Amino acid sequence: MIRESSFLGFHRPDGRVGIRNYLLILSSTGLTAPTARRIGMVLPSARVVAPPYGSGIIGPDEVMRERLLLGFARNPNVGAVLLIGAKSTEVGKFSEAIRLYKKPCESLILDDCGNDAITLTERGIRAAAHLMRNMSYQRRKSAPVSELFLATQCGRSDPSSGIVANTLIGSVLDNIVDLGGCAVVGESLEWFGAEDLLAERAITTDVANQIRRAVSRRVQLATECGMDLLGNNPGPTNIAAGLSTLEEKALGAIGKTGSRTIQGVLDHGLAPENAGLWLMDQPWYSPEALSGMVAAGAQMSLFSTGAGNSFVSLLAPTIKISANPMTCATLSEQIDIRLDDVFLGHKAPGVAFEDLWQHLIETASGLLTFGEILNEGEEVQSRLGESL
Amino acid sequence: MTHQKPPAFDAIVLHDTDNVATALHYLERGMDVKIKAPAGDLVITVCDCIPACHKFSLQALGIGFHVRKHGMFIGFATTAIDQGAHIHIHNIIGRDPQDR
Repeated sequence: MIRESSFLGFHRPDGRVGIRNYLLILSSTGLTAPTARRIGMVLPSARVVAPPYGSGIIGPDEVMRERLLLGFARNPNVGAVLLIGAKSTEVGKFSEAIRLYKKPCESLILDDCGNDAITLTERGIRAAAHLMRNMSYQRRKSAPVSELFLATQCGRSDPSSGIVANTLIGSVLDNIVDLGGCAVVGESLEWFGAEDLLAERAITTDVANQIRRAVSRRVQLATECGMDLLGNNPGPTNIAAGLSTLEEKALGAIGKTGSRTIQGVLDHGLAPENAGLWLMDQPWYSPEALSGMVAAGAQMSLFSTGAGNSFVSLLAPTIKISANPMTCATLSEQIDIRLDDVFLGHKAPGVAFEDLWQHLIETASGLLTFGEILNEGEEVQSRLGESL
Repeated sequence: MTHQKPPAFDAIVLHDTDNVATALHYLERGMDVKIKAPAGDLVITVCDCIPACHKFSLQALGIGFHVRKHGMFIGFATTAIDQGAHIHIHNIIGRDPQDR
């Protein structure tokens, strides 16, 4: 639909391009999380990721934790990392991995500060200040849109999401994929009812089977816990909004995927091996879902909502999109892109697509989202099981 | 509140193989509804009240007929449905998920 276009981004030493230049203050353990937040209070433009977990995380949970935390550090929007933790073994492992991404990183350990959080805070502020000044030497330079990796999400959906907003997000994904970029659609349980349509677009039969397995596994998880997913979906809110069947609800949700070939199904937080359209098998809740895609490397997120949803990613600017006329009118400092004109028939979807694409390029080049302006946003570490 | 123009249409058909339209605002029973459709705009009289974002039938459907939206199957008719009638959980049903 749209030919080549470019944006202005921060070119990283590992070859990726960021759309923001954040200092990440990353706490690898819950013990140092309050210190990370304290350092962040002194440097309010830094991004703080400080999950409450640390020791005693085992098995697949440990794998997931490393993938997510290192994924946040690797995200191209992060220009440098201040890593803090309690133990030298763990901090050493993490900082070595971050240096392999060729990312400037300073690490500080609570043990080395005589277990004094105040000393760690002071050293952290000093180290962060230097990292931030060095980062600010970087300037935006032209980059092709093939460097973009888009996350998608829908939250508090209504039929306007399925009819207009998700369909337009799908068109944007088609376009980014055609131009050599990357996109991911997650929330695997939302595919339930339309998984065959997605499977038909899989690049191989293996991938088609992965799509079906991802859905059936989540359905099984829900039913094993006694959730009546099969009998209560669509739920009462969906039904009141006008959605009658599971098929109808799922068709609206998968509109975000557009129409291109599906390259594969990623585990939560896992980076794709090549460009193109990917699915991610992950939780459906916005904070967890967006964090998984951001850890996988997405620099920007397209987020559709019907009734309104203020949650955004901390590290990937999130463009909030709604086609619900009431939501657009009342949540004017939340909705970045209004599509109510399209819903009401005053604007052709093709014109709205051009506007949305232009807004995406502007945002990649530095235009702020309302979520950034209002300081919304969080990145979270998902948990799979019990700790020791 | 931002000023809003009245809708250009009362309802929309999403795909040319669909047999339902979606109401863009509340529709009164007996109203002649202006519908935007891919195959050309049309006017249908609705025989029920239709809440905003809910569906109504573009044609008469028999029991077991496929109801289509987004160009895809979304359910079977469980009763005879008149043209212009409200389509919802009282007269359509999806496939049994256990049979997938």
